[in-house]
Order: sequence, then structure tokens, then C-alpha cells
Amino acid sequence: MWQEFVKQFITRKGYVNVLNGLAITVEIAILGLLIGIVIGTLIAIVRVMPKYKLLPRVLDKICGCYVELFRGTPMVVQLLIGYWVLLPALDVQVNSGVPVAVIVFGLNSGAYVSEIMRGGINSVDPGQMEAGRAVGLSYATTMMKIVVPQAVKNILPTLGNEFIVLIKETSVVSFIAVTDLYKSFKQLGDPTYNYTVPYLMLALTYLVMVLLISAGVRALETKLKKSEK
Amino acid sequence: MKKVLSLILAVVLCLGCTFAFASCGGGETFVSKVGVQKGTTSEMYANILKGVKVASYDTFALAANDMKNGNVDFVIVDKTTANALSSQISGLKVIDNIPLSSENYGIGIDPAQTALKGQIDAILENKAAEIQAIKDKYMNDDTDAFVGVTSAAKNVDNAAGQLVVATNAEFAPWEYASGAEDGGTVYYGIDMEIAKLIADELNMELVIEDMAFDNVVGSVGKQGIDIAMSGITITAERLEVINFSNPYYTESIVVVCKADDTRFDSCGTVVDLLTIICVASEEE
Repeated sequence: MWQEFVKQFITRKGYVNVLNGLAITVEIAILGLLIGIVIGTLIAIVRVMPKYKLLPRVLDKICGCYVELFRGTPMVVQLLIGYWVLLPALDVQVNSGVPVAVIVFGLNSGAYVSEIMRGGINSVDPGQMEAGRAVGLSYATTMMKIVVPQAVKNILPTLGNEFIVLIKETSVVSFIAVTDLYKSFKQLGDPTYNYTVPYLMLALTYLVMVLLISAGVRALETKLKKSEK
Repeated sequence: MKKVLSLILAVVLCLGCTFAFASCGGGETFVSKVGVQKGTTSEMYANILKGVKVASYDTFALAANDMKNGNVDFVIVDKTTANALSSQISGLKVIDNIPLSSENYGIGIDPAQTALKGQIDAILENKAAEIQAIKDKYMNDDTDAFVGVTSAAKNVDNAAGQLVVATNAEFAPWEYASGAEDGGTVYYGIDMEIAKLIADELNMELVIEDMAFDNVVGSVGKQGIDIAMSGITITAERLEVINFSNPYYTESIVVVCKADDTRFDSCGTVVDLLTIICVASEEE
């Protein structure tokens, strides 16, 4: 097994391949999560707005549909439709599948993050909003400056979990001709059809990444908890 | 209320058990279980065999490994690839003296580019000697003579200057990726070297798009993809979607079994072979 490792990773310069794949996987996951957080926060705010007027009610319904659509279909199906159906239909050509993957993962993650964020906002005491309004702040300012920051602190573990799920889900992007971490490891086994070492190393790489993320999230949590003391 | 709920739960459980047992015991009985690669002509062939349970895998190498693990009885696959595989993985036996069917490999071409088929056919004809040499060195496993092919970065603004080839680089000796030299993935294989030859003849930059095989045919004409080279058999169904060059290789589909499997040793004809694999082919 050690000989196979040396042959695949060192002699054939497989490590360059793997590092390229790693960069793409990390890029898709991080950009996807950032887009997801932005979209998710906006949707969550829309969905917790008081619904006395018509506009918030209509927006709420639209956001509801969006969330159900992206939560209700598998990631890989969304990727396939985006790349092989929507883009050709719109007559758009792209140099690589990476931007498509980033957008699709962002939209998908946005749906999940919005529900996480909604729970977070609801968990903040309504007195916070009332106090903010009572001292003369607008609804939007109170929401962005007082409620959302507290909500983010509450949902941090869940958000970290979402990132972990996202980084593992990126392993399907090879469906749209992107050479990600999974594909780059797989390529190492292709010439000899021997996938034992690449698959084990692949699992190990994902595991290390996820452990690093968990550690990062925990560190961030401890840091944010300081204000509570 | 609790009683009603538990009653409903009991009924559901009973129904579940009944269905589970029904699907185990009754239904169709299978003579054999065959492993194939998704989206290939081998899969289509296996699907018309009666009494055969077909298991589709991402690559045929996975199918062969699963056969070694005892989960399928045989694998049906293209002959050249079967021989390449059995030279890499031990414990396989290729019944290559009895072809199940014969088929022609062609280069899939974007039907919107009307001039391209003529150009590619002309290259296949004029460069026949070079192409034969490429085939020979891979079939004879003359490793030192293999020439790695690299892909340029795709640039959709330069569609006229680039030949974008869709492939599934997991199909040695036709196409496979190997390690990285100078930072980029290097592709090897008969199709890849022919693609390079065609791109050079057309004075274009070669771009290789590596994707799952069941996407290869459908991708032609989309996302700037000009041609598809992935050991693709010319079939009537595929001709409805894309254009094909003239055939550049005649391939046969064969059965691969475990090395210690002696059931096929006495087989002399396709009929003998099929008698073991299936009930009776619906094809006949």
C-alpha cells in the first residue's frame, strides 16, 4: 500500500493534482457559504417581518417558495439543471463549471441558512426589538444592529454544521466537469484502476478539513461568548 | 387517542413487513446478475436480456471490483477496455473469443457545425497510419511511447480557435488522466492522442472537458463543446441527438468473469454464452 501511495502521489506528481482539487473544493464551499449567509439572512428577515401590509406578505410567500424549491430537490439535480439545462437555454457559455457551482451552492445553502437564521432571530427576546424601537431606532436598524448579531451568536454551531455539510456536498461537482477534491483523487487511481489508496486518502482529507472547521467554529464561539460574562 | 395511534402504527408496520417479504420472495427470478457501466451500450445490451438483473456502476472498474466482491456474477464491457482492466486487476477472466455484439466507435460532433464532420472525416482518412500507430501502442501496452496530452484553459470568447472535447477520462486505454505535470492534469489514451492530432490538424487549441460518461453525448453542442471522444459507439439513438464521424474503431462487447469461474470454459458460440447468462434474449 505504501508503494502504491508513493507511485500515485509522488512519482506521478499526484499531489499537485490533489492540491488543485482542494483549492477548488474550498473555493466553492467558502464562496457558496458566504452567498448562502447573505441570501439566508435577507430571506429570514423578510420572513419574520410583521405582516400587516401586502408587500411583506407577498415577499414572504415568494421566499417560502424559494426555500421549499431548494430544500426539496437534491443538490446534484440542481447542479445538473443549472449547468446542462438552464445555461444552454439562456445561451450562456462559461469557461468552467466553478462559477455555476458557486452560485448553485450559494442558492441552495441560502435556503437552509434562512431557516437556521429565522430560528435564530425568533430565539432573540422580543423585548430587544421593542427596546430598540422605543429609543427611536427604525425597524431595519434595530434588526441589523441589535437582533441579527445576537441571532448569529445563537446559531453559530448550526451554521458551522451547515458549512461542514456544504464542504462534503461539493463532492458532486464533477457532474458538471469540475475537477474537485473527489475527482482529483479519483484520477490518481484511474490509470491502474486501483482506488484503495486514493479513496482512503480522500476520506482522510475531508475528515481533516471538517475537524479544522469544527475547531474554528468552537474557537469563534468562545470568543463571542466573552460578552456574556 | 393513544390507542388509536398505536393501532395505526401497528397496521403500518404489518403492511411494511408484508411488502418487504413480498419483494424478497415473489416477483421475477433472476438467472444472473450482471454489472455494467452507466449510459454505455453494454448497459443497453444487458437491459434487453431476459432474466438478468442489471447493476449499473459509475465506471466499469467498479463493476469488476464488485464482481470480485461477489455482488454480481459477470460484467459486460467493451473488449479493449476489458483486456486493459484484467492486466491491471488480478483475478479477472475475459471471454474475449466470443463477442456478444460488434459495434463502431465514432467521434461525436456538434450537429450545428456542419463543416466540422467533413474536416474530421478527412483527417481520420489522411492520418490513418498515425492513428493506427496510436492504437497499436496502447493495445500493446507500450508504455514508453505514450504521449501525455494537456488541456488548454477553456475560453468561450475564442470558440473558433479552440477544439473543446468532452470525455470521461476513466476508461483506459481509451482515455484516462494521470498525475500532474507542470501543474495541470495530463490525459493519456487513444482518444486523447487522436483528439490532439485532430486539433493540431485543424490548427486549434485542444480543450479537454472531463465529465461523467452519461453526460458526454448530451453535452455536445452545449457549453462550447465541439466534439465528444470517449470510446463512444455510434447508435441510432445517439445519432438523433448528435452527428458522428466515420467509425474509427470496431469494438465488440464481451463478458468478464472471475478467474476461477469455469462456467464459460466449454462455450463455443454466443448462444452457449447467453444460455448461461440469461433465460432467452428478447432481441431474437
